[in-house]
Amino acid sequence: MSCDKQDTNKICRYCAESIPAAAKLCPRCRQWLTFFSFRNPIVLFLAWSVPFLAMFGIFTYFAGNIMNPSPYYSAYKDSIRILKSNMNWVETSDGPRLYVTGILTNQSPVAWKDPEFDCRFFNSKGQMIDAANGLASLTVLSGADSAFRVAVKPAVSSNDYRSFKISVSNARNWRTVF
Amino acid sequence: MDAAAETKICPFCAETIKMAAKKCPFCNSRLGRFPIFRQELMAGLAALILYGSFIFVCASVWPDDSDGSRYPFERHRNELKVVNVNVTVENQESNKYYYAVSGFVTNRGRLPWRVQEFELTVTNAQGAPDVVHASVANPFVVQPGDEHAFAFHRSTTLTNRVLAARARVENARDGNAPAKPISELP
Repeated sequence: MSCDKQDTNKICRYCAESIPAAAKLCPRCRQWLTFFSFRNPIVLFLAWSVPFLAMFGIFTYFAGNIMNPSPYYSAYKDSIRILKSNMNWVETSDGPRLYVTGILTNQSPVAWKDPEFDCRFFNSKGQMIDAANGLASLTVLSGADSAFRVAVKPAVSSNDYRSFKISVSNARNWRTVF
Repeated sequence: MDAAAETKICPFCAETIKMAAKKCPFCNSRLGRFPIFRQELMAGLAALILYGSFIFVCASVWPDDSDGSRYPFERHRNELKVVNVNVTVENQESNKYYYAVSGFVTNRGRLPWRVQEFELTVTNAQGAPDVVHASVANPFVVQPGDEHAFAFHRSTTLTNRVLAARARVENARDGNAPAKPISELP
């Protein structure tokens, strides 16, 4: 019996005690003797790192999609059309303003918000005398229409503004969180 | 046999242990000056490779996203052309001169761009070229295949008549990326 035990024993690399030859974990010093085992806590930590890192990556990807969800307006450009628009010179407490008001319609299957407008202003000779990137905080649902007002700080005197052109240059997906 | 029979005293639990022991079988304390085992060094190396490759993969999947853009503008600069640039010197108040700049930006590429900055080269009647970098106060988006008008004032000390002017887009960012909020005028 003792002879059998002697044959199947080995010396632990760490505590130098005699332990069974098949031992993966030293019963005396509790040190793992085999590296490649999923029960080895170090290997277990490394193995769990892989799904955690993958989850972190996937979360970051989807969080980015929530912050800025597709489709973008560039895929549906010209889908917001301006049905009619007017230009008015307005004296406000912050100084003179050009108010461009009108009605826009959304012909895409996507709801948009916060459109940006390409506003161009012309004098009596038809020369462009001013331009602005107009902003309006509004939501226009799919197939719906919405009234808008864009305020522009005029660069030249009121008599020079004779005609204007306005079109939608950009909008944000309505599902955008912030 | 003799070597195995040699013993020492564990400095932590004071039990008698084998001379070759790197770890005490009684109290499981590590013995020696630098008690790091080879398998832990291997694991550290593996962790370094694992986390390093994760960072490398992330950095290549999401390139420089510091401003929210997915595409570097430098590679697409030629897709944006500034046309019909018109620069005049205006004197609105006494001794205050402005470049009144207007024009159009056309986009021949396939991506929308939000124009952030212009580089303007103005040649005046003195013949001296003046280079002006003007950031756009309210950056606008030029959709692919479209054009967008712009007009802005930029203060200058040159009072001569402008002979020629040309401009290019100095900086733009991904037009689909969320923009810095600019409140509409009251």
